[in-house]
Amino acid sequence: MSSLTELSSPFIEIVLKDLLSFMSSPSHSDVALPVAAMKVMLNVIKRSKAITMTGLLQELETAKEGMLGLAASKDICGFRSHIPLQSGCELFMRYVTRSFYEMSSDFELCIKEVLLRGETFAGMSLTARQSIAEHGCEFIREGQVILTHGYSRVVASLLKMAAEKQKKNFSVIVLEGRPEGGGARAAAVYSEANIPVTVVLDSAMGYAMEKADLVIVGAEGVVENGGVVNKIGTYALGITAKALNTPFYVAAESYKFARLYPLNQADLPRVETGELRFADTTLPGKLEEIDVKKDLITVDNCVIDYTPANYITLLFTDLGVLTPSAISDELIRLYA
Amino acid sequence: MPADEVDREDIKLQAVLLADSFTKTFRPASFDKPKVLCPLNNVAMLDYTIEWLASSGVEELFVFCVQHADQVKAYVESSSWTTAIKVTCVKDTTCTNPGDALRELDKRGLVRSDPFIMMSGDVVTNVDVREALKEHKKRHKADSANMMTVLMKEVPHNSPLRSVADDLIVGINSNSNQICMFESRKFKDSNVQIPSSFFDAQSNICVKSDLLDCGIDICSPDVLARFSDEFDYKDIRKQFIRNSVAEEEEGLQNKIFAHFLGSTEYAARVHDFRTYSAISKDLIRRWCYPVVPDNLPSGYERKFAYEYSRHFVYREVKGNTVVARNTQIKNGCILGANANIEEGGKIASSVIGNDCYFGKNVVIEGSHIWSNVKIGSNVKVDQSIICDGCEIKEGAVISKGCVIGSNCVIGKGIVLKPFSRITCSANTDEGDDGDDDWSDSEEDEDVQEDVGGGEFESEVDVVGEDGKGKLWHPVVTDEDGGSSEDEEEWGEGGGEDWDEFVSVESQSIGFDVKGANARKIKLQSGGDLDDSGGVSVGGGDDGEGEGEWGGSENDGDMFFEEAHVVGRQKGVDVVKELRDLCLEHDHNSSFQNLAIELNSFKFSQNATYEDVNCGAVLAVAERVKEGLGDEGFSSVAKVLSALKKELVLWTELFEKCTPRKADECGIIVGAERLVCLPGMEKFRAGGGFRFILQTLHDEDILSEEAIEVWKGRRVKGEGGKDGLELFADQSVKDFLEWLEEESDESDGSEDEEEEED
Amino acid sequence: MPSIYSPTSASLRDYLASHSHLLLALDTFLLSLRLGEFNNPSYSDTPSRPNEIPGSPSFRSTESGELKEETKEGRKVSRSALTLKAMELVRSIVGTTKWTSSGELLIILEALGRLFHSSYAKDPCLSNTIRRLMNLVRTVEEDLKTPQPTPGALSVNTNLPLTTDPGGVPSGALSPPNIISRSTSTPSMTSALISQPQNASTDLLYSNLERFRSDSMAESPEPAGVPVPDGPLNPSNVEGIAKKLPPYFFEYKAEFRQMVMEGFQEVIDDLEEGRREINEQAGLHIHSNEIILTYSLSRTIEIFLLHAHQREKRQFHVIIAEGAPHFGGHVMANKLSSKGVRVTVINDSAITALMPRVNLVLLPAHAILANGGVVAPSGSHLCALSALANKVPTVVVSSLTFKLCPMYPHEGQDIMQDFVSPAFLGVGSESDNVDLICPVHDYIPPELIKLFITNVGGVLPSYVYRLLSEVYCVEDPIIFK
Repeated sequence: MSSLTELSSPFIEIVLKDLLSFMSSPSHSDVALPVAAMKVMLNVIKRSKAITMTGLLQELETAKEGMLGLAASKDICGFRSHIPLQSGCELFMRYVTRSFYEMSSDFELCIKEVLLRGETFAGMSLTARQSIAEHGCEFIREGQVILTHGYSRVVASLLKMAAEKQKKNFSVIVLEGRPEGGGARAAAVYSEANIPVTVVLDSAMGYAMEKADLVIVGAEGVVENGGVVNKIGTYALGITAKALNTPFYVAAESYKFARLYPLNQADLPRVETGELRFADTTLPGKLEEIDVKKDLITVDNCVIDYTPANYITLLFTDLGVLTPSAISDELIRLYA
Repeated sequence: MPADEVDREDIKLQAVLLADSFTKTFRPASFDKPKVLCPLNNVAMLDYTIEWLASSGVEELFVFCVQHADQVKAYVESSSWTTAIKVTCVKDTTCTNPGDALRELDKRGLVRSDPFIMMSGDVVTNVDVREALKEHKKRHKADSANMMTVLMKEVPHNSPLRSVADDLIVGINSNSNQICMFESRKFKDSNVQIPSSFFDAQSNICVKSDLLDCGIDICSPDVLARFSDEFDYKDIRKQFIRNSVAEEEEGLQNKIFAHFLGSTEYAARVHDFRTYSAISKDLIRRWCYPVVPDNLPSGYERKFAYEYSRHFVYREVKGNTVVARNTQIKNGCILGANANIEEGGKIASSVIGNDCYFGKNVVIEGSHIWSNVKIGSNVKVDQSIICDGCEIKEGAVISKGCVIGSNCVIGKGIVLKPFSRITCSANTDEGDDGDDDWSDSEEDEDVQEDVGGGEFESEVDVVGEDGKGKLWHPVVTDEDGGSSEDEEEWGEGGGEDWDEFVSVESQSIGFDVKGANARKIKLQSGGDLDDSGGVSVGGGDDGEGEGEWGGSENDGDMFFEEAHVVGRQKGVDVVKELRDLCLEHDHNSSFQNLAIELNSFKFSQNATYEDVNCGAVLAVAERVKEGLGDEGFSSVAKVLSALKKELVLWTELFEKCTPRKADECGIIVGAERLVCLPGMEKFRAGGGFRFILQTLHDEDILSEEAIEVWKGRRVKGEGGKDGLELFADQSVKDFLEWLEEESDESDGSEDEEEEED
Repeated sequence: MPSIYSPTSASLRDYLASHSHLLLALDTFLLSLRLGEFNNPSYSDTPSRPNEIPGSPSFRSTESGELKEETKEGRKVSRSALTLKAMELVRSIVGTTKWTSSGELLIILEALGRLFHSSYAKDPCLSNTIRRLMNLVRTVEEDLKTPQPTPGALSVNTNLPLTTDPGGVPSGALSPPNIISRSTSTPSMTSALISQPQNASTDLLYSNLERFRSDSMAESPEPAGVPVPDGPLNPSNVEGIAKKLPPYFFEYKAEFRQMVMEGFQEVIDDLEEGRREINEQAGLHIHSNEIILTYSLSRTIEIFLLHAHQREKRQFHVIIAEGAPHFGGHVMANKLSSKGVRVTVINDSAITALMPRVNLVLLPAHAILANGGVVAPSGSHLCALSALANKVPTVVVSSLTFKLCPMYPHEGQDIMQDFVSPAFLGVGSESDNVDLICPVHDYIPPELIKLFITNVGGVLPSYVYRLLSEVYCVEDPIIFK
């Protein structure tokens, strides 16, 4: 990392400020993390004084490192892994280099072209979700019961399309989705689209599964072998679904495809989040927070887990419906 | 001859389609729309037939239209079905029956292909006809007398696909499949005959009562010619086929053959609303695959597309049909395009047309809703048909078996009686005798349904203040010569028992067929044999028998003579036997024994109670004669008093032998024949017959009902020469009038009740 | 000269108006689809006419002699025959009418596809063939754009996974690599890095589309913003999938027509070749003294077994489940035994009882789905399950040329299901409370299938998606609605 030393920390400062402002600004509330990352990188290019591709790439690399570092240290993604952030950055860099080759290695032209196309990025995540919904809602049929976990924008848009556009009648069971409890929000959204919703505890997974005709979850990252990284509990959900022979579908945008090959849960990048409020509700009166200072009690507040490919029936992506085994092909193509 | 055979071969296959079934049974729906254009599962019946003809290789089709000819023509020209078949309309509004139609076709000489397919426009089928065509060609080559092949399907006798009155019995030579008998049984006539000569000629004849006539024939052009010769033939089935197959003379024969459908082939004809709904069900249940609701005929695919989902529910998917979340759609439904159904509805085994709107909590079962129908909230519709453009306002209840003609409006909260038919068409019954049909099977016998009953009900109390439409009744027949002819046709049944099977009810959805069939068989077998009648061989030997086989279309007079002639055992005169039995009976022993004796004989001979009573009366007469001797017989009074005495004595027997009022007719008949006996002339002249009736009535041996029934038959001109003459007698008329006055209100309405149950 | 703008049946008819004989041919074909000989009550090779079905009660009484006759009757409507007939029809239409550009041709094909679909073509092989042809047209069009291979293209090539079949992938069935990459990766790049083409403003769209198309194909880029030609057609005034086509699809190219017609011929040959390539693998999978269980009737399996028996001289025993209610199994038994194969016929309910002694289960396919699942004659799911329970490998023998479908089993078990007349069941009921149904297909999920023996060699269920991307173009409709 010799290059890093040349670039001063102020550079990273700007990048991070850029990222944070972008994330916080209400106008982009609907934009996914990777897209934010790409925006940031665009700004990097805008600011960059580099005159060679290598130089530019170095800057981008540093920016990426910086962002990932931040994500790992502070909780900027709200109980989410930063894998999408990483995949976003990598996809973007891959893309810059490719368009460099295209432009028959004309640096100036390349930059211009990249910036021009960058304009369309903002709408990207929306259109992606759109096409995912189109592919996915074909799988929903009259009168089915759909089990889903926490809140995912992709899943939401998919179910909404089925209910509102296609006028299908189905009902949804939503798992609470601790720790941040996205289930509540999901329930609100679905009932908004007048889909009947039942909310159950995460621990009611097995209980709810036998009622469900199919399971649809979102994903934070899709990895090489077709498995997915997603909100904690997805793995358990996958296992239960398999056990009860219920189809298990994952909806994910293609920019969440990450070049990871986790073999087990431990391989996942660690995500720092706030302390888990872990209370004993049986005590009379006030809720008694357990004292985590006690050295024999450790709280492992994991927020994501990894679901291996063999638990997944199909993936709905903006590249179409894919079998898990098709993922690696697509990854190769994206990063080729 | 072989020469023109050859060049006939290469003429492309033609077909004749009778776009008019010449019946009244589809009223009031058929008032402003020809039957063949009525939607069956949201497809005009005509399109099923044309599609089928096209797919079975027919290249040129003549659609013969009579009623609403212009509508049919317009439809045929406008519709855009496949170019694979060339459809031409033949228009002739003067025809009143299929016979005329065929003669007309013969005149125009359009049909050249040999063979050609002839069918009526209301048949739905998936038959593969190619094989039948091949067979027919072969046969026709062999013998030009083999001119017709009738397609038949084995269908259980009580199948809903039969019109209730249909009681077809077919004799088939199972070697050659040649038809040697084609009879439709009648009330009281539980017998059919096969000339014995057929048995010498061709062996292995089997008689089947489980065949359904599909209404599809393969004919050689000679058939048309034949019709031109037999200018008085009106119906193809009941006259042409029936008489042709019965022809014993070699050489005069037009041989007609049957082709049986394969076990998975389907063909059925829409006779009336009952069969209409039965066929619709079968299509929904896919019995006629590939003719199923999600496989639309050519041309439809441009506008519509149906998708099949579980439990036989078909939805139109091109338009936007909206069904509220909590509305149930169950076992066997079709939802047309742009249907809009609000919450809380329950829709079961029904067909919903295009552009319909249903309010909240509607309950619709086993019904057929055509296009553009608006149904308010909380409406109940049960086993009814609601035609195009109707509106049913909130809370109305349409009970089973109703038919509501196009553009009618049923007011708020109105409850329609079962089996009522509503119309608001200006086109009234008098106007449209055009599509009346005297010959096309029993279908149009609804005509006679409410002799006596059926007073006209004004709009408002039927359909409500905010409603539109009036109750429709079949034509009430009058005795004027014009309709007398068809009276005979529908008169065959006779008696209120039979009415049940030819009434509006029997032709409406929701009619209890099973029960009816059971009752019918009882009637036909005189209330005793549970099987359907007997077959007698060589009936051609006695006079009346001949009359029955003769070509005349009025088989009306079959009825009475047969009652005492057409033999159980050959040449047995049941009534005479019964009379003798009565005579052998001596006064000291109770009537009980006699009754038993008579009964057992009746069983053995498959006779009816009427015969018994008739016999008894004759016996009485015999006794009186003995008592008085010839000179005593000269005075009317004497005879009368003597008769009276005797009859009173016999009352007990009569009671034993009249399980049903109708059976008392036998007594009257007996009296009739008694007064016609030789030596009774004076008595008869003195109005004796009237007095006998009087006495019988006063002694309560004879009930008004019985007299009514008897009267009914005479009105229809049954009972042979003597019977009618007597009936015409002034004195009898007086008596009947007097009877009318005595019991006025208790008329007509009664038999209604009897049919309801 | 009429040109066609939208893939609707109406506009197609207008387009064909001047060729009455074509219209007639088309209509007769559609009729035979709706009501006619092609509407098979069961699957592939069973006789189409209900009363020819061996299942009709007559069968059990009659002896085998007549049966063979009947099935010979029936074979004329086997699905390969159906597909061929459709192909001929399409070819004569494409051959005789005066279309000018690939775009127009695509519209015609799509219109035909929709027409078939709306004509109750439950059989997927028709739409598959159309889809193949559409892909062919695109391919030819791309080829005409003079692609020149570059490192990028090579990398794509090297990424071609190998089939499980030692013989590798016969080139006959696969399209050239540049199509592979194009047809599969075009949407990936477009959707991954810019908004969907149709949403973007046309000018930018085309420059972008061009670029992404080319960069995904790793070709040398063309100058941005190709001007839209003002020929008879251009993307802005057409409907259907043609809307998504870049302008150059609407330019007239002299050599195009001829190239396409050659391509058509290749596809037709493919259809006819199919079985031979399958049979060549018979030796690999069928060994002597094996007991093989198969279900009902399949021409493909029949000749596959016969090949093993006669060419490879393998002595094996075949157990055939009769396949009620159509009893194709009885016909199959007659065919095989008459050729000297030892055969046992069992009733379907005995499958589980005999499975333990079976070495291999061969199943026919009505359609092969994108997830590697199979639509097969109803009852074969049962076979596959009991095979799995007894650890007997289930192998599906089928040609891919027209049975490979791009759709997933959305409807679960009901996918492609069709219900024929309950009369086949040979029972009736007086009561309205009894429903009789006679479904003809089963859906077998991929996890029950060990291997596909196809005309492109042995294929694993998990690999099917890849074949798809090679024969079909993702932009073509999955269902012609």
